[in-house]
Amino acid sequence: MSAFHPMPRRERAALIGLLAFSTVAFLPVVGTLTILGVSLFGWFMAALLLGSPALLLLLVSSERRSRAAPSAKADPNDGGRAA
Amino acid sequence: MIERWLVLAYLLICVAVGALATRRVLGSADEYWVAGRSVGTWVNALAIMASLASGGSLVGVLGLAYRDGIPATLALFAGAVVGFPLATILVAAPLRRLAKFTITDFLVFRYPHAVVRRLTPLLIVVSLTVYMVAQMKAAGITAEALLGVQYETAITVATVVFVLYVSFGGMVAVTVTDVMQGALLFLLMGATAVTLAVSYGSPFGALAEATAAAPAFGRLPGGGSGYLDYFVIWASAIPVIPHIVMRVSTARDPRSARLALNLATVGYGVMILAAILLIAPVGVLEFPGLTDPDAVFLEIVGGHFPAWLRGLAVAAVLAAVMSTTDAFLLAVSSAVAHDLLGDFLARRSPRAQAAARLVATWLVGSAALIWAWSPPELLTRFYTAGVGLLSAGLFVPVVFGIWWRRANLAGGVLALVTGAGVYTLVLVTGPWFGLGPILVALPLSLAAMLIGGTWGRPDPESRSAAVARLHREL
Repeated sequence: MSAFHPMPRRERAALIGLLAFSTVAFLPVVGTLTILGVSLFGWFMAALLLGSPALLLLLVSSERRSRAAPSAKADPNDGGRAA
Repeated sequence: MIERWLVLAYLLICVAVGALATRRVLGSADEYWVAGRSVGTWVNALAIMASLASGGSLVGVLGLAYRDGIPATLALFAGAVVGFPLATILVAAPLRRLAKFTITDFLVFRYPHAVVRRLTPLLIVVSLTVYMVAQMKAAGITAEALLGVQYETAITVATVVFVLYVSFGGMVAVTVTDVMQGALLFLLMGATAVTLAVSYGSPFGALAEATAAAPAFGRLPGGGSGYLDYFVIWASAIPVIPHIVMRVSTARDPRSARLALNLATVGYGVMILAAILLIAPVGVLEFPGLTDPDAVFLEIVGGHFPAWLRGLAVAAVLAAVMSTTDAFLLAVSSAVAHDLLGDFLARRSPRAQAAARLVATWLVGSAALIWAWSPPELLTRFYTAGVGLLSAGLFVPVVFGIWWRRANLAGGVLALVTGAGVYTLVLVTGPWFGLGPILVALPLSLAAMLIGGTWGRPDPESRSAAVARLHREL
């Protein structure tokens, strides 16, 4: 058995991709190049700003409805303390 | 004059929303803290976007871009945005399936120990109160500059208004007002960006002119490594920051929560990019040499728009401040009335519980107001340090508590104490080996979790099974 609980393959790939992209963006060489007068580091950050949530939006919206759990409503008077 | 009437009308609407929500929320903790877990995806997305877009991100983003240039400003805001996909993947669905209220609820469920039960809400109260004070200061400064209202008067009126609607309307009122505030912000930022882009002939016309006239505006000598601390603080804070976790709990189901998080972040990203790439360049071109960079937004609005739109701009800044502060106020109140006093209050009547929630909200709001009357200097650094404390203490226990099968009581308590303790120590003593507090605290918190998980006593079978059920849909 794996030491970790299972994560959907596409989400694992997105997580690794995000971490890799962020790491590359912070490499010193990326800050020295410019496009349209703006540092490449700035464009990497702009891509993260829009691209990372857009990617996850695509992933989540393509999930099948059936995988969504039904609403688990807590007892209004238990202070939310019951599991 | 019209500016004052618009702002007054806006504040009255907020109070009215709180009054209307009272009947629904006062009899039920579930309604009060998480709006009955019935908030739809689009409404939740707008509310999350509004609570993310603070006064700092409306006024401050343009001031920062004006002073420090485009790449540095983007680095500061990208960390928070990357935090949302991380929250989506790592915590949103399991926390929503747990069907509780707060991040403390999860940690106590996962690591039932007195240290966790007491230290977590304390971390939340300290870090979020600092953030609230910063927001209130932003509201006071803006109202003073644009409306001519005294700083103390402005923050007192704004605080009384949002404490009123939060204390009586709970999460329902916070959600409704946040939706209004989010829409107002998005429309104002969009209208400003489009108007300026049209007047400069193309979307990037002003950007091209500004980077040609002031090359430093587009550059970041030495790359982004100097901003890594800030990036990591926000990226690791969002998955555990209490007001976002409470928003996840308001969603109808895990999928809706995950969709809302990312819809909100796309909207927020569009606003921030519009501000940095389309509006800030106009400030650099038309208002060079401003002594107060934070005034650039107000200068642009004043120079390009009529009085009624300037009134809307003030209302939008107040909306940005209030939509963040109300969410934080609710989160801090929940840390007091639910996390710290929950066991005691559970034995009291629903009426007594409701009274305790009200009192906690007023006490927290009043304390923040008194502090905001004479706020410390270097507030941005101060509240970022507060948020860093939260992520240093909570990120590893939460994420590993959800995903690592060997996470146990010893590992969770050790990781929480080590993360918060080391962060505070490095903050006080200065960087270790050139690394800022968060870059030292997070790895050591992880090491503590691994040591506790490897050599500590394994969790009972029942707890492991309960954690496994949080993943049952994956």
